[in-house]
Parts: sequence; structure tokens; C-alpha cells
Amino acid sequence: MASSRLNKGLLICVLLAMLPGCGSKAQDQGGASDATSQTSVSNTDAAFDATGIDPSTYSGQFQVKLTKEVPLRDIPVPFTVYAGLEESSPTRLRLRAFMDLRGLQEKAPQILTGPLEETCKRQIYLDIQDVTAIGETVKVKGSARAQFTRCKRNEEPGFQYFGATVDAIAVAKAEVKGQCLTFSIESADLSPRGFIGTVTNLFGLTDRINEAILEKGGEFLAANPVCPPLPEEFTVLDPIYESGGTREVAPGGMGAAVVGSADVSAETIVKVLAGLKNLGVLEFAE
Amino acid sequence: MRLWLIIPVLMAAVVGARAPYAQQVDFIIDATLPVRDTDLPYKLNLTLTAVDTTRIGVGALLDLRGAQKIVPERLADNAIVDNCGLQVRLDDISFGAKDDAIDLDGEVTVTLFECSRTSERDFQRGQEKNSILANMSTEATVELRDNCAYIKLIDLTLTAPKAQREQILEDDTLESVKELMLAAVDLVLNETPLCPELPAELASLDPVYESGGPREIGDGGLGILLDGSVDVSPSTILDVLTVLQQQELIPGRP
Repeated sequence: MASSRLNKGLLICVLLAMLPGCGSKAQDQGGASDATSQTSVSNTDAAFDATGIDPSTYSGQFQVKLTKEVPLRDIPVPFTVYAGLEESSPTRLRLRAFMDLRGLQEKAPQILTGPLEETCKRQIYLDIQDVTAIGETVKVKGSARAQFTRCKRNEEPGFQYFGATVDAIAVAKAEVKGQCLTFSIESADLSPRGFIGTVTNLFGLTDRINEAILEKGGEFLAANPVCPPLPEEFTVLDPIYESGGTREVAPGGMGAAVVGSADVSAETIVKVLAGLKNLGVLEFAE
Repeated sequence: MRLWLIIPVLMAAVVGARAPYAQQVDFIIDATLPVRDTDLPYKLNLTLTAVDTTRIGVGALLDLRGAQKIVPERLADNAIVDNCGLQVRLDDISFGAKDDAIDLDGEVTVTLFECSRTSERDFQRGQEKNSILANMSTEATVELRDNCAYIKLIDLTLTAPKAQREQILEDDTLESVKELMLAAVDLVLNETPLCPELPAELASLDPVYESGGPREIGDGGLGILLDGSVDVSPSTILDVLTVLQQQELIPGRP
């Protein structure tokens, strides 16, 4: 049951990790990405066909598309957000955003495969094969190898008293909580491999592996909800995100949709202008 | 380049950090004022304050301290009145704000010429009759018309040194010079409205100015403050964002 949660957890970490990455590289890569976004803008119609993303998921009077390739553990990951704003009443704006996560989905196995926990008493290694979107859920396929060891005095792993590999297929679902997408496990199918698996079950150790992975994955999920990386122009509006979750783009492609709204008063407008000024886009003097 | 400014923000959005924003924002805008065939640079200090749910108060302070330096230089040795029999040149002029008035001081050279009629329409300037140096001092105020500020002379005082005074009085020149100068200056000022023009990004904030007047900036610095307000709606934000997008300061449309 466990490893899907854990995989999801790592996916989330990836999202989080890539964003700070953006910040540090921002200056150097400015030119290149400008060019990228220009190209994508000019190919609007073709892009819709190719992306398979329903434009109504980000419709609005003002629309924006953010595209960026971010190196993640030295692997470049393309990341795209489509967002739209429109006036829904004299004092309200509606916000819709769609995050295309297919680049991440494709690179996820490469990025996520590796150690999840390495302490003296427990080491868990992940091997992710495949991440697929099905409707409003995400299916993660992979395996986890868990080793239980005694701690040595210097806090290094010592005698290994148990180890097993678990194959896992899990289905996760995202819910909108506040500004963020919080993932949870809908269902999972875990099977310890081979003869050891049978023995494991006999000794009740499967549960222990499950627990370990669930605990670790759960920690990840709790600590790292996916908060939509929307442009600051949106963030300064302080929107309330009302609904959303992961969505399937074309067959099996992973994306996430979010809908929200924001109260707009004169005060908000002043705040937005101040925010844009802080961003450096409203500068009119040398 | 500026596209990347968005990125640290993504981080901030994820971490949930929000910078505190005030209910007031100031912009300093480099602007120019077209005067005849040149442009005078000035700075526009724009202050936007939320005054109620749908209204933003706008304070536009035109900082004319740059022009204050340039204008006297440009005016130097220029004749502001130049006709057949009379020429008035501004030699040394300075102006500044004092509290909420504009003070203008200078020296003018008034030169009288012989003037003879050569035909029905043409006059011929002849020999120089007389030349005097007079001190000029005047006060100006600001009028608000059609959302623009106009500088208006209140009065003009011309005084000549004692030695020359009798001569002038004899010729009754001083009064006519003053009238001509007032007329000439008012003509120029009327053609020079000070209309604070907002940059394209802020053009959707189209304030209506309700009052205006001179304002001293620092010590004697010339400023003109216009006060007004603008009604806003959510689409005001969308308009600003759309312009930013057109200018490629923020990422483009899908």
C-alpha cells in the first residue's frame, strides 16, 4: 500500500525542489527562456492540438503561460503553467490555472529513483518505473527495497536483520486545501517479491515494511503539499483556491487544474501595483 | 530577463511566504513636457492610495526641479518681446517655489529702437535709441483646466535703476513693456499645459484631478501637485497586466 504514497511524496519534493532551483539560475538563463516562451506564444493554435490541454481550464480575459526548463539533479525538466484571470463580478476576479506536469512525469522515474531514507536502523531505496495519470488520479508504478539494520555505536548501519523488495502500484488523488494540492493515497497494491515475500508475510514483516514506507511517504505528503507555482501577479491577489486536482492530459499525461477567486477592491489594486513594482516590472525612472 | 523575476515568486508561492504590501504605492516616472520644439524632462511622483472600496486617490507631484535649471539657461539672451521699436531680452532669470506660490525673478534688458514705416505693412527698425536694464519680479500660480495644470502669472513688477528711471518714465515705456511681457509670457504658458501623462502600464488608471497648486520641494524646488482620484474595478488589474504582457515584461499568452 505504501510505496505509491511515497512516490507521490517524492514527486512533490521534485516540484518543490525545482522551484528554488529556478531562483538561483534565474539570472543566467533569462535570455534563453525568453526565447522559448516567445516561440510557444507564436504557435498558439498548434500548441493546443499538441498539448491536448482544454483551454477552458485556464480561460480568462487575461491569460499567461509560463514555460521553464529546470535542471533537477542535473536532469532538465520542462514545466509549464497556463493561467487565466477574468472579472466575475464588480468586486471579484476568477482565476483558473492548469499546470502541465508531463515533463516532470516523464523524468520522474529518473529523478526519483534513489534513496528515500538512509538511517542506521533503516534504509529505503526507490525504483520508480512509471507515473501515469488516469482521469483525476495518478498511478505510480515502481518498487521499493527496504533494509532493516541494527545501529552501530557510530550511528552507521550495522547487522542487517531483514530486507525485502516490494512491488507497488498505487493510485493517488490530489485535493485542494487552501492554496495547495494535497495528495493522498486512494488505493494501493503492494506485493513483496518471491519466496522472501511469503516468509515476510509469515513473520508479519510485510506490515513493517508497509508501515515504514507509509510513515516516510506520509511525512513527505504532509510536509510537502503541492502549491501551484502561479505567477506573482496572481499571488499578490491573494486568491482563495476553491477546487482542483490532478487531471489527465491526452492519454495518461499528468497535469493539475486549480480554480479560485479573489476579492478585488481599490486596496487590492494598490497592493497588486505595489507587488508588481516590487517585482521590478513597473519601473518608469532611471 | 524580466521574465525571470517571476520565478523567485513561484518559490514564494510554494513556501507560502507573502511580502507585506502597504495600502499605498508610489511610482517615480521619468516624463517630458513638450514646450514649443523641445522637450523638458521632469519627474512625476505618483502616489496611489486606496480611499474606499472602489476608489483610488491619486496624487501627482510634478517635480520640475530639472526644468528649473534648464529653462533659465534656454531663456537667456532670448528676446521675449521683439518688435520694430522694442526688444525685451531676459538676461538672468530664476524661479522657485516658496510654500505654495511660484516666485520668478530676473533681469531684463529693454532696448528701444527708432522705427519707421516703409510701406503700408512694413516697418523698418532703425538706430538704437536707448537701452536700460530693469529688474523683474513676479509671482505665478497654478490653474487646473482639462485635467492639466497651467502656470499663470499673477502680476509683474519691473523696476529700473534710479539713473535710468527718469528716462523711462519720460518715455512711458515701463508700463507698456510690462503689458507686452505679461501678454507674451501668458501666451507661452497657455501653450504649455502641464499634463501628467501616465505610462502605458498605468494608463487604465485614468485619474480625474480635482485640485492643484505649486508645491515647494526641498528648498525652493519647484513642484506642482495635482490631487484627484480614479474609480477602479477588477478589470483595472487585468488592463495593467495586459499592457505588461504586450510589453513583454511578464510572460505571454498561451
